[in-house]
Amino acid sequence: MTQTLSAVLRATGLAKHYGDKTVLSRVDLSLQASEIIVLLGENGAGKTTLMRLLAGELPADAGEVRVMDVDLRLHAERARAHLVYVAQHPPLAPLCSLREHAEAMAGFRGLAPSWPAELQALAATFRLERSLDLPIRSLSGGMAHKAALCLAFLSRAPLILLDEPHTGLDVRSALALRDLIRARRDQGTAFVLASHMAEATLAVATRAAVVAGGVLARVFEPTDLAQFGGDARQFEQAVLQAMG
Amino acid sequence: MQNALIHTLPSPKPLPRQLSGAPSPLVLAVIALSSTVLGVLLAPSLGELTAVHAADVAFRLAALAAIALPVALLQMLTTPRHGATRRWLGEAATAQVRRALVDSVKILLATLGGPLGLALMLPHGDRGQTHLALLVATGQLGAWFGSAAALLLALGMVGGERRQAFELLSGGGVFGPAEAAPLLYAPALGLLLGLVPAAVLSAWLGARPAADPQLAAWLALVVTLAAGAVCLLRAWQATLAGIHAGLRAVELAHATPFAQGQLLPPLPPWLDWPVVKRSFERWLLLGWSRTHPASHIAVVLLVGLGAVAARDELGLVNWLGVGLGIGWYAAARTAEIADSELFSTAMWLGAPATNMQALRRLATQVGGQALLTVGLVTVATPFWAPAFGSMLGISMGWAMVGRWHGPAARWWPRLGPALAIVSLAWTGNSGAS
Repeated sequence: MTQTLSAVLRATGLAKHYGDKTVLSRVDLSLQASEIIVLLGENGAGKTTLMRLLAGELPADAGEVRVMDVDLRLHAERARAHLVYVAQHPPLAPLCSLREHAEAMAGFRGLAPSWPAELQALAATFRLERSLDLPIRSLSGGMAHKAALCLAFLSRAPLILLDEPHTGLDVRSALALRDLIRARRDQGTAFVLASHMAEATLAVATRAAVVAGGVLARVFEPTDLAQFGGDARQFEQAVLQAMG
Repeated sequence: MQNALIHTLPSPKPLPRQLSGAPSPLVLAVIALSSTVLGVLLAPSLGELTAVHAADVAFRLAALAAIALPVALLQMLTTPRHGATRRWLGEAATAQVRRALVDSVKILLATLGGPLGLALMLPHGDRGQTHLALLVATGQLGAWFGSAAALLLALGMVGGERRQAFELLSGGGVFGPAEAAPLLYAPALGLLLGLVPAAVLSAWLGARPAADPQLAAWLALVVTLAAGAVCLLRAWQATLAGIHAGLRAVELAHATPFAQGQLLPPLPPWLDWPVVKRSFERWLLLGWSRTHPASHIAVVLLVGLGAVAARDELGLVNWLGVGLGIGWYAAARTAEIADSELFSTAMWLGAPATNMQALRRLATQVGGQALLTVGLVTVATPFWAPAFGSMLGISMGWAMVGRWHGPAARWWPRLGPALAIVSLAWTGNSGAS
């Protein structure tokens, strides 16, 4: 796997144990700008754990994570300023609205003054225009997830980590998300996605990695992915094979 | 919009028993409050007769209960954790509110008869007793007026009129359509205004520890007060049914996806002090004010109460009670905010991870508010100063800190009363009275 100093994300030798159980060991991962890597694997394989390690939400038992060349453990604040992690249940405040979350984010991250217009556009993309000022808790699960996605894209962070981003999304929103990811990739944003959907993976990924047995059991490089030619079934077979 | 919303609501639930029938937590609390008033009335004479400081301490502890009980009720009625208000939901109909108002007028008139009659029976020239009776009557009138005004205002809200005045006071509403949200504040407002008679009476007695008690008159007054408290409770029961009806509409509106009436109010201007201009504190206070909406009213009214009663000097020992109360309150509230989900949301949104400085600033602001409140009340009556200083800090913290997590946080509520008791005992033994 490519490793350079200018990588947006560079993880080396990551390991995580829960008690006696080893969830991850010796995981190396590197990501350049405009790259999208999709993590695949069975339920419980450690994809979410890996995402949380990369986001700095969990301390690693061993190894190092650097975001924009900033050590996530030693300089967590600086490193986390370069990334956004959208978990399956992002911690939005139930009694505050999407606009208020965005306003707070604008203050925290020093977003450009044009953020309200950008928020409006993102909300329109996900059909949330009428929900901008509603408390999060009044939104459905899917809408709340879309609200979190809006905030992630609004942040303009160079690294966005999305854990199963298609879960709970309607078809229109899933397609909109795919287009948005591609558009942001073209602008230089790097993505780490955890997903179970082969077709969606092939649609956006520049690389894909199968998490199994606590390691990246197989990494599909761009040339590998190109060989599938968009054939999701064939890709699924290859992923299943890698899972063992 | 509100009317349209209410008309589309499903059939109402029947009123819960505690709103329609006899003994409820409110009954017990008001009885306890009446007992406290009894203690407040009798303690000065007891203290004068025996000259034992223990009586003074008991006197102050009774006053502590007089403040803490209604504040506990306030918390039960308004904070999401207890959620009592929003679980006790009835029919969404403004007619119920109107009926509650009519009932409360009748009860008010009946209640006023006691102290006014007593005042007329007292010997001519006994101005102290007459004043006392009139004070009670005025307090009852004030309690009723406060709750009635809140309800009338809420009715006005439903009609889409005059919403700004109440929003200014309450910091807006957060639990549903903006027009109906002030309903949430009505019980809290009424309860706090209900404190006025007890507080005024206590302050008045505190200023006259050597008042010559005429036992029969005192007892008659106490009985009247107890009866009045029960009557007020009845009024509250009737009133609460109407309030819950409005809250029913609010609750259902909340449960309705895409309900456009659920507009969220901004941070109340008076909470938006200069210290809180920074994004992080502003975010925490915004979320916190949404979670504990009644706390605004508590602070405003307690400050007002203190300002009304302000007079005389403040001694060194008294400052101890004030300091303990403020310190405990500021620490408890700040700990609660730091422990809340708002903090993790802020981190997720990109707030700096090292926010201890921001928390300290928050604590400063919180302490400033408490200092203002407690200080004003403490200055009011040196006789009461240590008790007020401590108990206000405790009860306000109690009311405003709705959630406790983690082993360390569990100690705060216990530490507060312990400090208060130590303070009270100390000042009692030092003969502060």
